[in-house]
Amino acid sequence: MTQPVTAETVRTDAARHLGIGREQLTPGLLLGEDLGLDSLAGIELSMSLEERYQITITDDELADVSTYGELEALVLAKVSAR
Amino acid sequence: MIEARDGRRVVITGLGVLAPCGTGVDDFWAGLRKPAEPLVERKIPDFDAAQWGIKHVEARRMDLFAQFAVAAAVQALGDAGLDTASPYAEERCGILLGTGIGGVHAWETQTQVLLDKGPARVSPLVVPMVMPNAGAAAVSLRFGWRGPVETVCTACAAGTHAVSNGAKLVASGRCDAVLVGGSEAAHSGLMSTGFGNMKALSNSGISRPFDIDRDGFCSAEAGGMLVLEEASAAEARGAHIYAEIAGSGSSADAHHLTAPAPDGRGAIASMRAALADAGLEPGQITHVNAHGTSTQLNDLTEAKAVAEVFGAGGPAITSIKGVTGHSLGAAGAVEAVALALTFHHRELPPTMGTENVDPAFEIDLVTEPRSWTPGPALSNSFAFGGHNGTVVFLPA
Repeated sequence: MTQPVTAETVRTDAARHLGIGREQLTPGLLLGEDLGLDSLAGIELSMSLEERYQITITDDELADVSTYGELEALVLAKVSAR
Repeated sequence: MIEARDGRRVVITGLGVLAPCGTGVDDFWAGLRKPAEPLVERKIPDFDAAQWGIKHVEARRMDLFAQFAVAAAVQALGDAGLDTASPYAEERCGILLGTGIGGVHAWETQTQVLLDKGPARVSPLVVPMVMPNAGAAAVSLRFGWRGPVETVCTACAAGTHAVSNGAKLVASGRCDAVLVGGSEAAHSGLMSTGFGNMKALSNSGISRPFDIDRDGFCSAEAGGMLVLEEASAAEARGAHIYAEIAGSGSSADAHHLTAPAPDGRGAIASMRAALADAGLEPGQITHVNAHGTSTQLNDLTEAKAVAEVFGAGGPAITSIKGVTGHSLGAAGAVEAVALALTFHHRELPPTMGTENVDPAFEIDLVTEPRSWTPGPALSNSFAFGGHNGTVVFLPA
């Protein structure tokens, strides 16, 4: 991937996956209560980002994520560790 | 109806339909009288899940067949006037849907993901997308209906069996209202190849039921849905009533996996069981909405069976599959919608595509729109596996 991966690119891809506007996706949103994602939808979102950025997020890592900001930070950390 | 308790009668109060010839009852009905372009795979044009209130994230976890079920249910409940105000408790509202195969697209695309990208990329939702009951589940989730919610999987008879089984829930008093119908979206590389290799599909792409030159069926996507209610409750709330469902029949050939019994015994038994259930004599039936797939074997067997049950001078027979093609587990539901509209418009839709009725058939095939005084009528479905189903409608 030639383009650098930033918080903005992750947010764009996550918002597209969720079918919502990028501006609606703020770091403090809870994946469950605020975004309405059940556990399977959370896995789907995680898998979508894994494929997009060629990273691997484990079940345990995903279990520790409760907000969108935490997921974004986890993805960015994985990308920088590639 | 043998299940009827306390004089309960079952009436149709709402219709919904998506078919290659039209979405919504008005376009669908008009489409039944327009010649179809030759096409062996007939899709629903311009389907847009969002139009039916299916959100982006929901659509991604629903196979196309389940989306068709929701779209048809939205139409039918709206038509019945039960979408905004319903007098019925959710636990007394049931859903009985048919599908032939289920989530074909999800199965095939996720198999490809598994082969191309490995197990880590397979959707965690593949199982609930593939399962044949996903359509009924999606409709239940959408409307909060919590009574019996079940799925019939009897291939090309599933739609008719779903209508029949749902009607029994109302007749017995278990439910006040039911959504009954079926949906199918089985155009995939694997399924189409299988139908083609078994020589069931039309080479010409022309569906011409009961024609001497018929050469196989044209497979179709579709969704069909009906709202059924107990008659006195429907009348009390001022619902528009299309027709009454007076009885049904179900039988099996126990002859062959895919070929109908050549003597038509299963089809005959199904029609006779339906007549007995409705308390009618063969001579009282004025119209048959046939299974009429445009295959050599179905049309031959069905024509013989109809002639056997009704004798010479029998009812006027139509197959809408000349236009709609054959939507497998949705077909019986789409044809039940067509039959309800036949009562409404007092006109028999023609068997399009058919130019020369096979002279071996002693049937009165309707090839032009024909005005009709509503009377007892029935709709047939016959399936791979030897399953047969018939429902009987009466004027309301």
